[in-house]
Amino acid sequence: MLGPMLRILRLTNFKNFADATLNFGSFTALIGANASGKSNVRDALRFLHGVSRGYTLAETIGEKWIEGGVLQWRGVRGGSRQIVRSGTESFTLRLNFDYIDGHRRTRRALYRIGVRVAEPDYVPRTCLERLKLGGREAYVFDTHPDGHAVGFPDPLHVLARVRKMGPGAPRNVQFLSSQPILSQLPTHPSVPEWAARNASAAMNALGSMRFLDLSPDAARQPSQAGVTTLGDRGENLSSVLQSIAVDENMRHELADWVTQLTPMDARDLEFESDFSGRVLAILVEDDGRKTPITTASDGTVRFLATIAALMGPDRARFSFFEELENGIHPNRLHLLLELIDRSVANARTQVVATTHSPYLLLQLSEAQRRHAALAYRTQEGGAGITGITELPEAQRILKNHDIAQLMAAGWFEDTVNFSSEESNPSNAGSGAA
Amino acid sequence: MSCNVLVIPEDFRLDQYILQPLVQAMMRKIGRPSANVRVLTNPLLGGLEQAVKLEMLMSIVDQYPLVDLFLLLVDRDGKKERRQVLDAREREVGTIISPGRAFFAQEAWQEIEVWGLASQQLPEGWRWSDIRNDPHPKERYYDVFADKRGIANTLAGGRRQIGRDVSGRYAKIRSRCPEVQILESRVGAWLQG
Repeated sequence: MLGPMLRILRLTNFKNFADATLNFGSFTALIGANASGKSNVRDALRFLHGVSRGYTLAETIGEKWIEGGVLQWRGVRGGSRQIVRSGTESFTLRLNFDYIDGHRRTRRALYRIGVRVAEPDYVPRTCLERLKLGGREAYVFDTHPDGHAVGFPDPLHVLARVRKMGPGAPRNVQFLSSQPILSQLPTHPSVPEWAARNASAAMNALGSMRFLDLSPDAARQPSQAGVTTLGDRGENLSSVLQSIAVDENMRHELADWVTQLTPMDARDLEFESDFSGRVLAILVEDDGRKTPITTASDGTVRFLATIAALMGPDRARFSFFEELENGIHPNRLHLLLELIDRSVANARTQVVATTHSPYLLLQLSEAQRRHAALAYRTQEGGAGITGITELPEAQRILKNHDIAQLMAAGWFEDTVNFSSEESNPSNAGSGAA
Repeated sequence: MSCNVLVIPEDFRLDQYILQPLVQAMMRKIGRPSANVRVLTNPLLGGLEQAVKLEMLMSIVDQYPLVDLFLLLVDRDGKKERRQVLDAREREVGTIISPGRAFFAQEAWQEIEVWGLASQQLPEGWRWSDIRNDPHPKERYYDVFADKRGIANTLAGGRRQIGRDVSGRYAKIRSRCPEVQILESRVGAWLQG
């Protein structure tokens, strides 16, 4: 059985994070006030996902255009001038994760990339990068194998030491500094086959991520039959649902979810095709009434899109949802959690979701709470991340008080603030009132 | 030399803009400039009845083990018996609060907005004693003042802007509002204790 793919993400000087660590669970709820840094975590993961696409760093951070002027990739919000924390010139991301190697074995790995974005040209360039494997084997490649840089022969290139399996010394290989080494390794002529294969496998893992910011309007549009990948905003929902509904049991299960979510008595799903081959999903109620998703409520469409993301044939191993609870009545949030629970139960996927809903937090299981994290603003204007159960006395307080109330009252942010190093409670007076 | 301070208002939505800078300035005057002052933003605090409920206060004290000083700051509303209620709460909460921590309650004469007004140059013809004695100064004086200053339609009915003045005019506030002096003395004595 597979475990969660992503384990630990460490962000250093990335956007508003000076140094923050996020420990992932199978499902990680990410809470925090507006502008606390939740979406910057998403940006960090999107950057790592961009590495897997073989783009240059400028394209990963900025935009990727392909022939015909088609925008293929939107980069990190704020672009290269905002990706580095104010007052610094480089950022580092470190990701502990699992990937499946060429022998279908799960390998524990650590990928670290440092990127410099500085004057005069602000072109992002690799300043540090390594892929390490767990166990007895050490690095696959490393720009700093002994703690020191192998070298930068010129501003456009960087050297990395690349290992090979079996006897023989590792070799130093020159790579472009404008593109992550990881994505250059698989096709580089001087790289041993073993290293290339592991780099490809690591890239496959990083590539299996989706970042969903569902928009009911986008999800309602008819889509081409046979397209089975859900777009980040929910595009292609109808055709993805159609591919799920090929299995009759799944079709009825989809209808059951809708019945639970809404007052509708949905018993089936139908799909109507137009002359151009685009399909539209239609909910059929017990009395024969039909509701195309073009007229279904926002919450219903978002919920169907969430199902499609987690159960569709092209589902990712990792999905990041922005404001998971949007459009869902608090009384029905348990359905979302049940859906996620089912989806991650066999580790078919791993989910991170931002939420502003105290009720969603309330309905997390104890295990899910252990992985819930808070993004917060520091008193210096930066940002941090902490597990909510890691806050001082959190175990006792979360047991004795209503967690939804605590979230609504800003207790998590207050507690982080009061426990910051700036505060020194021991200096307070000793007399009681 | 810091201190974690949690201000418990009766309605944080408006009061926070005046109370946070006021308490921060008070702590500075007492010699704790780096005090960490936060206003409790619990949506259940929607009126005096909730704010002075013993069960609520006990719950807050239990939820905030890192807080050194709790300040319950509410309106007096022209009711002299308000002080008796606050004295009772101080006694009751004092029995459960651990050593090294303190809970003080103070009523503003007659409403929190008066502390904000105390930082301002009053319009001609207004007498400070009239404002202090009016049981409803919010409607009779604060709203009129905010309207005259052209800030009535800004955030929190102008309290955000008035709060910015509070920080630099603490001396004026304490000279106009004896209850602020009393609170300052009690907190000061506790800190030295």
